[in-house]
Amino acid sequence: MATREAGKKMIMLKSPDGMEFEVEEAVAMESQTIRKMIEDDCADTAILIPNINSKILSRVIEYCNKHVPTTGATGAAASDTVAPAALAEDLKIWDAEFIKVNRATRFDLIQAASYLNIKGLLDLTSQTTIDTISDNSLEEIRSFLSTKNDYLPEEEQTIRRENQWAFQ
Amino acid sequence: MASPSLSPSARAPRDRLSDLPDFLLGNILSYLPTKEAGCAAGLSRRWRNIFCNVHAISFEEREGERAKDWDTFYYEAEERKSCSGVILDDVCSALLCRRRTAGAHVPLRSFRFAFDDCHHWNAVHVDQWLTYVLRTNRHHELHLDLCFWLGPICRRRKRDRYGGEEEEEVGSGTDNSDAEEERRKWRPWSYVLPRGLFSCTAIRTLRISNCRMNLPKTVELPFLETLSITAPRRDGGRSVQRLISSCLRLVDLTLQSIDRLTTVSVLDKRLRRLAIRCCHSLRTVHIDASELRSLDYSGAAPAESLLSLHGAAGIPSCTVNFCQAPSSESERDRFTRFMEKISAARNLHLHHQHLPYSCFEGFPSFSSLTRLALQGALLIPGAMRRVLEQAPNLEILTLLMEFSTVPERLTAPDESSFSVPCLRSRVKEINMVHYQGDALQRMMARLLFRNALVLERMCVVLVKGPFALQYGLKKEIEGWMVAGHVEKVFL
Repeated sequence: MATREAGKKMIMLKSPDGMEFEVEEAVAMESQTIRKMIEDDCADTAILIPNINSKILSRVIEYCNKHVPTTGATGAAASDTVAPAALAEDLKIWDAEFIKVNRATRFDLIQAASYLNIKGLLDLTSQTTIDTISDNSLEEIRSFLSTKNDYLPEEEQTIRRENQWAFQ
Repeated sequence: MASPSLSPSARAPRDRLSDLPDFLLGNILSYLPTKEAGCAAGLSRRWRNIFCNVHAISFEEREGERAKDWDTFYYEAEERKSCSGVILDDVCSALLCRRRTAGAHVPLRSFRFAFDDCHHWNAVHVDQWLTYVLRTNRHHELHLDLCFWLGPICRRRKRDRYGGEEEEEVGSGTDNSDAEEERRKWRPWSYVLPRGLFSCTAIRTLRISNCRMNLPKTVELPFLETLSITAPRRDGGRSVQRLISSCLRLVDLTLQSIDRLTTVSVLDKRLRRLAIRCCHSLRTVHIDASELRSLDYSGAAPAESLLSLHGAAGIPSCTVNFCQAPSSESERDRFTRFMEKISAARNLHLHHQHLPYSCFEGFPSFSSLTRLALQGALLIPGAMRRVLEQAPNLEILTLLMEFSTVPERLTAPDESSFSVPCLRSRVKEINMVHYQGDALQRMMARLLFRNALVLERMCVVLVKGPFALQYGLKKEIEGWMVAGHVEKVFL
C-alpha cells in the first residue's frame, strides 16, 4: 500500500452533526473498521462516521491517540515509526480516568467501540459496566438498570429450572 | 423476588443497557463469571436468550480441592468415578445452555477450565468440550486456557502428591519418549491434548498446564500470539522449541516449570513479553529483544550466559524473583551481573525474600528507573538506602511487605543519612502494603516520609487490627510527613 511509509498521513473523520476531525492515519487505524476502509482505498476524502456524535467521536479519538503505539505492532503496520510505548501501568491509570463518565456516555462509547471495532475500548467500557453490576442480586441489578421483571411467576420458575446450573 | 408490576413508573430513567443489541449485551456479560452471566436470564424477557451471545466460558476448581479424595472414601469403597463432578457439570451445562437458547449463536471465543487434579475419568468430557469448541470456531479468534493441575509453579515447592516418583530425570533432549513404555506405567496419568488443536488456525491464545502436548508432525498455529506452557508432562525440550518455532506471530511467551528445557531460541520474531519461571535446567535463551517490553524471570540466580537479548535497547519493565537464596560468593556475583543486564528498566518489581543483605552491597545503578516495587520481608535500612541511592530518577516506590521478624540488634540510622537524591527531588508517591507497625516498619516509614520532600501521594494499607491502634499508626505517619499537600490514603 502506498500510504504505508507515510507515517504522518492525515485522515479526516466526519461526525453526522457536521464536525470534522483530522487525525493521523495510524490513530484512525486503531479502529479495525476504518483500517479496512483505508486498506480498501475507500478513504480518499473524509470518512463519514454515522451514528456517532461529535462529542463521543472526540472521546474515541482521544482514546485512540493514547493507545496507538502499544497495539500498533500486533497489527499489520509495524510500530517502528511511532513513539516508544507508554508503560502498561500508565495506560491503565489513564484508562481509569478516561472511563469516569456517566452511564449514558459509557453506553454510547460501547456502541461506538463496537461499530468502529476498537477492541481495547470495547473491553474497557464493557468491563467497567460489569464492575458496576457484578456481585449484586438480580433484584439490585434490575433496580440499577431500572428494568422491569416482566416474567409471570410460573415463567420465572421455568427460567430457573432451565438455567439451574447458574442459579445453584 | 418481586412480582411483575403493571404500572409503568414514569420517573424511572430509560434503561439504556437493555437497548443495546444482543451481541453487545452478550459481549458485556462475557466479562462476568460464567454463572453470573447465566443468571442474567432471570432479569427480564429481554435477557432470556442473551446467553447464546456470551462468548467466554470459564470454570475452575479450588487449589487443593481434590487433594484428599483418594485418601478416604473413594479409595476404600473402590468407587470408580470422577470426583470433579461439579466442574464437569458446570462446563457441560454452560455449553449446552448456549446451544439451547434461541438466537444467533456466536462462536465461543474464550474457553478456560482449571482442574485441581484431573483424573483420567475426566478425559472423555474434556475431549468432547475441546472437539466442540475447536469445531464451532474456525474463523474467529479463540483463547484457550487449559489447566489440569493447580499448585505452585516451582517444583522445589510442589505438593508431594505422587510420592517421590513423579517425573524422574530423563535425558533432557528426549522428545515424546514413547519408547519408555515400561517406565510410563508407573507415572501419573496425564491428559494428551487432541491433535486437532495444533492445526486450529483460530487460536490466538494457548495456555496449557500439566498436560501432554504430544505434538503432531505438522503444527499450524499461524495466528497464535500468546503462548504459555506450564509443566508439560513427558514432552521434551525439543517439542517445546518446535511449538514456539511454528507460531509465526508469537508476541507473548511464558515458560513455567519445564524441567527438560535446556535451550530456547526465539530469533525469528519479536517478542513483546517473555516470562521464564522455574525452568531450572535452562542453560541458554536467545531472544530477539528489540521490541521486548516486559521480562519476568523467576529461578535461581542465572549464569551470565543464560539470557542473550539480541538488539535490546533495554527492557522497560522487569519482574525478578529468585526462588533460591544465592549462597556462595559466585552466585551473589551472578545476581549482580543479572541485575546489571536489566538495569535499563523503567519499571522493576523485585521479590527479595531470599536475598541476603550482602546482595545489595553490589546493587547496580538503575538510572532510568521510575517505578520500583519491593516485595518480601522489609529490607533493613542499609539495604534500602543502597537501592534508593542507585535509582536517582525514582518516582513511585511501593513496598509490599510480607511477614517478617524484626532483626534483634536494630539501630535506627540518622534521619539525614536517608536524604538520598531521589527522595529529595523525585519521589512523588510512596505505597506501603501490609503495614502492621512493628519497629522496623515504623522506622522505615519515618525515614522515608521525613525525607520525601516532593511527595504528592501516599498510600498505607494497614493490617487489620483494633481501631485505636490503627488510628495511632495513622496519626504517627501523618506526623512524619514533611511535604505539603500530600494526598493521603489509609486502607
